[in-house]
Amino acid sequence: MKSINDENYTVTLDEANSVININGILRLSGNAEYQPIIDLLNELLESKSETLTINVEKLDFLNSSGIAMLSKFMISARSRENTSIVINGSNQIPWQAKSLKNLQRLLPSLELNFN
Amino acid sequence: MQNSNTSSLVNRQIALILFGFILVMSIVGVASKVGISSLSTNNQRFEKTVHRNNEQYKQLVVMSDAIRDRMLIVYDIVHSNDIFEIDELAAKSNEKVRVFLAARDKLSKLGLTDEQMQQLDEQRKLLVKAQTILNSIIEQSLNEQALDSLSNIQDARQANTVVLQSLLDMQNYQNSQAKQELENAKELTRESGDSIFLLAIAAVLLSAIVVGIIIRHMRTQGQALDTALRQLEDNNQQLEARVKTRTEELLTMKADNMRMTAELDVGRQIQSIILPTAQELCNEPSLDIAAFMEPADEVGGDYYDVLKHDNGTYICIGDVTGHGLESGVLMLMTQSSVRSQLEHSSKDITTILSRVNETLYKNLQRMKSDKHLTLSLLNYKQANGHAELQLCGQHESMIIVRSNGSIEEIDTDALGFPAGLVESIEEYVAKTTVPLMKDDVAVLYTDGITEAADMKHNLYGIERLKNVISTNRQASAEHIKNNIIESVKQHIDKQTVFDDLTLVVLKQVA
Repeated sequence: MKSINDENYTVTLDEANSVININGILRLSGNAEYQPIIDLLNELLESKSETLTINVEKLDFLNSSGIAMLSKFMISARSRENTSIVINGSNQIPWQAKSLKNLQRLLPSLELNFN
Repeated sequence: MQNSNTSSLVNRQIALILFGFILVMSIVGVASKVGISSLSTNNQRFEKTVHRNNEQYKQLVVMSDAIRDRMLIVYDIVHSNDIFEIDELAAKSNEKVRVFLAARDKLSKLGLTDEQMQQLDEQRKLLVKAQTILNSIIEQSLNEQALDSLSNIQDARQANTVVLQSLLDMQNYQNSQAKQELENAKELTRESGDSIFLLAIAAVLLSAIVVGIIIRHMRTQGQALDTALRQLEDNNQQLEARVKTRTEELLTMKADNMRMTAELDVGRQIQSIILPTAQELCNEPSLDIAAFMEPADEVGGDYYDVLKHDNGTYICIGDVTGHGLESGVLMLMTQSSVRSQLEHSSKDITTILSRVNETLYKNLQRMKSDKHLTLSLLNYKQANGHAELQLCGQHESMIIVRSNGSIEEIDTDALGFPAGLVESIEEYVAKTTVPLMKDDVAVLYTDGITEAADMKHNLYGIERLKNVISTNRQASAEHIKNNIIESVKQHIDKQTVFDDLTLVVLKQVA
């Protein structure tokens, strides 16, 4: 388990199960500030597991830089044909509906679960 | 602060030294006073003793002289033949007796010892005896019985001699007594001297202790002062450092503030400077167009445009993520890029959108910015009594209110992709065509309208928007626009306006 803990958000990578949990409110500024989270996402992408899961059910807000980060992640994942990616989101959180669907358009194989 | 503390410290030290000095002087004074008073008491006692002894001695001498004189007088009486002379001598003898008795009386009042008193008593008996003898001698002399008187005088002389001897003893005793008193006085004086000496030593010791205490106190104070000064110096240094840091911070803040103010001004200008003029909105005769934009306190990136072209009128609406100058710049680039594509490259809105996306993406990469925007492009065409709106690009849903009041919501999610987020969106861009009849109303807006919050954070929402449009659909585009804005403002009430409010109302009028 690796984690980033901040006053406003937490990110934990469960390498054993290839799951990353992103919770809270992410308003970081630009690539530089997102880099630690990007590193964890890349680590997730490098795992040998067939299914990679991103949990954002408790991610209440994600700014444009965060959406750019996830978009780039989906574009990187396109080249990995044997890897399937699952995002678990929430219907209750406004930003997710449109943005997560856009991610799916970048990576058609993306499995989106809303609860 | 420092000066007043130091001066009060100095004052305290001076007071302490003064106090110590006064204490030492007082002790020495008391010691002297005690010594002197003891000495003077001794002196007085001694003087008194000497005076008493002198007085006693004097009386004893007077007594002895009186006895001796009387003896001589008696002799004269015995040897005298003149009766008158004997009478005269007898009177003299009696006078001497009175003198003796007076001296004796005085002596007895001068505080004699019991022994002396006893001696005096014994003398009295002898003297009475001698007196009797002398009286008889005088009697015999007067009666011219000289021989008898001569034998008697012998007895008297013997008695007087005993008395004289006794008086002499008393004188000697008195002398020895005086000597003893003198010795006592000397001893007392010596003792007084000793006690003065002891007191002086005590005074010196006490003074030393007081001085020691004062010195120790002063040293402690000095050390405290040193510590305080060091502390003060440290504090000063810290303060200076803090002032320096704070000044730097303030300068930075001032600079930031100025930068932000400048940014705000520039951003506002960018946002409003490039908006279409009122005249441009009226260039399409069959389409009544009204538009509204109100930036929030912080500069946002809302964008709308109306561009007249040979191929009809092009309408754009977009919303750049985030706020600030960068958002404003992205909005500006979008406007230029769209216009440039339209006028020099392509009339097709999907092609325009894809190329604009590519341009923006590359510029944003250069800017190292993660900003992007929702962007819808519309192309209004009217020919042969038929009007239509082509729509592409992902943005908020477009609302169509038909003249009969029916409402359509055109979702744009499938018509495009956020612009500037990925290099190519060509594969995601699609267009839809909406025919427009006379009096149909089409409304474009940014999420500043639908997500406008009231005091309880309830959002304005798309349903309220649809209702206002529907209610006012028969009015002009301008009127519909004004009513929507009024309704949104009412909803917001005193709540802060968080986002730019942008609204474009299109009404088919022919």
